[in-house]
Amino acid sequence: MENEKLIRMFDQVKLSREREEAMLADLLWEQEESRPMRNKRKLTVIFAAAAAMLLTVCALAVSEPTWRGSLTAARQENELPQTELTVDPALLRAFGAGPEDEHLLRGGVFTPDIHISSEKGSLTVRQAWTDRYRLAILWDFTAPEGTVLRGDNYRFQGRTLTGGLSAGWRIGNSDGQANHGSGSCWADFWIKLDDEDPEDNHLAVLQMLCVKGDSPIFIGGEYCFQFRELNQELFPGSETVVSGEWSGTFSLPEADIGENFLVDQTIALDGKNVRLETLYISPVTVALELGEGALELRKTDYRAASTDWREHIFLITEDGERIGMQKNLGSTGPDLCAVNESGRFSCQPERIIDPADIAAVELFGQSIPLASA
Amino acid sequence: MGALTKEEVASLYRRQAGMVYQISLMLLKNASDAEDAVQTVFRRAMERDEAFAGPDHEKAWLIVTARNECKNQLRHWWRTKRAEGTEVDTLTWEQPEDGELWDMILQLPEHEKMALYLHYYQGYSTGETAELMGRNPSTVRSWLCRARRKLKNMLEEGEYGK
Repeated sequence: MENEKLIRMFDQVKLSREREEAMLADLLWEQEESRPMRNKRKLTVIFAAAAAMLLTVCALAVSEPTWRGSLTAARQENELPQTELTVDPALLRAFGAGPEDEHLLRGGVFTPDIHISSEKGSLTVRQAWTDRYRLAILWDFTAPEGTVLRGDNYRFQGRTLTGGLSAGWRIGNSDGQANHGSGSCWADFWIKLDDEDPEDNHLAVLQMLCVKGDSPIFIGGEYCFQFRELNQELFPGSETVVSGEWSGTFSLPEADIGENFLVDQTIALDGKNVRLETLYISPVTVALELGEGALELRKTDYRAASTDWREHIFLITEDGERIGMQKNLGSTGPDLCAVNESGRFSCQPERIIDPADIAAVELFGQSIPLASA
Repeated sequence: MGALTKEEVASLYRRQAGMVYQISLMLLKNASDAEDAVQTVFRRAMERDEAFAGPDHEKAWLIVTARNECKNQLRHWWRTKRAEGTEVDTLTWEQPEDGELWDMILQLPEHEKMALYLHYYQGYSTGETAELMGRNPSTVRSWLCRARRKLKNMLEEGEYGK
């Protein structure tokens, strides 16, 4: 690709002269509208600005302004302002992140407008977070007065048409196709959050969904829920605490906090030659999509954990740091689909990462530079 | 009200609105959002109490402000999610391949698009680009290499598809 093609292309990305002048006119009109309120200060501002410019010119005359000074100053002056969408501390803890990692996860945060109230209790989504393969939802629930929620863990569930228990939620495709799955294709676990007063009727729970098998990814989809019960998990079994109906739908962001790399190479994974189609990296997820040859991996019993894939995957940063995967989360081996002859494996890095800092991924001793993907 | 007169605002706008629009459209992929971003950036410029230290500072400030404004808008994209097919393509191309290249650029991650734009189109060195983006020069070089490779792969796929 020649640079001239890029330059020619960008030269054509422009506003029409008419549109540019119209936008300038709008801007100047705004400036005019605000002027009467500030006339008295304007002269002072002009003189101050002129004095500042004079001082600046003099300073420039005696020193050697460098491009570096101008660019650094411009960037530092424009440090990204704090947006109201910061990551809830409960979500940070769920990912094993600290306040210092908050900015890395911020891009995946969104707040669905879900507030459901009835005599059976009120349910709200405090905040949610997603990348392609993981969806975390923070639910706040207030049960009817007098209901004590002191149990160790709770989950919302639905009911099937025949009265059986169901997960109570599903993910819809962004292309409008019929919804997939009923919760069985996604790992779905619930965690009760720290409760300041276990004897009251308030509850906060985190629902964490992870894509498994050949289920669709979360980005760009819709989360549809129809909960009928709040159940306390008793291990084993559960007990219904509140019965009601809380249902709704919200969109999942299309913007992806992670980056998906096209690899399309055959590499040796766990001793088998498998087509690695894509590599996905987000601050909390590393995911491999496998193609031809994936079914050969079925011959390994991953439940016996003879090979733990998490021990053979590393991220290599631009600075040469080697980051391993967390061993206490997720599966030891890939999910495989015989119908599509495909496979998928996902795991979480040992620390929260910035995908833009990752130069290569090491899989079973083989380094895949992302610059070549 | 800031340090700029009406004439200075007009002069700044005519000098730099094109660049701010290019960055905004590249990151937001939507003409009306890009125009909103342009106006927001120049309002901020007008609100500055200090004049720019020089042309380099002016240009760098607008680049960084545009990028930050677009990143802020993207974080709130779901509030104004549009139905498919409502955005009109406002760009016209001398050659079809120019439009194809633009579509490929839009598919790149934000940091790679910005690095490409600043280095190859605006002519900043990798060091200057790194300074603007708050990164190490080696990281920017890696992004540029990655972006070029992706564009090359996309171009080759396009050839096979014809």
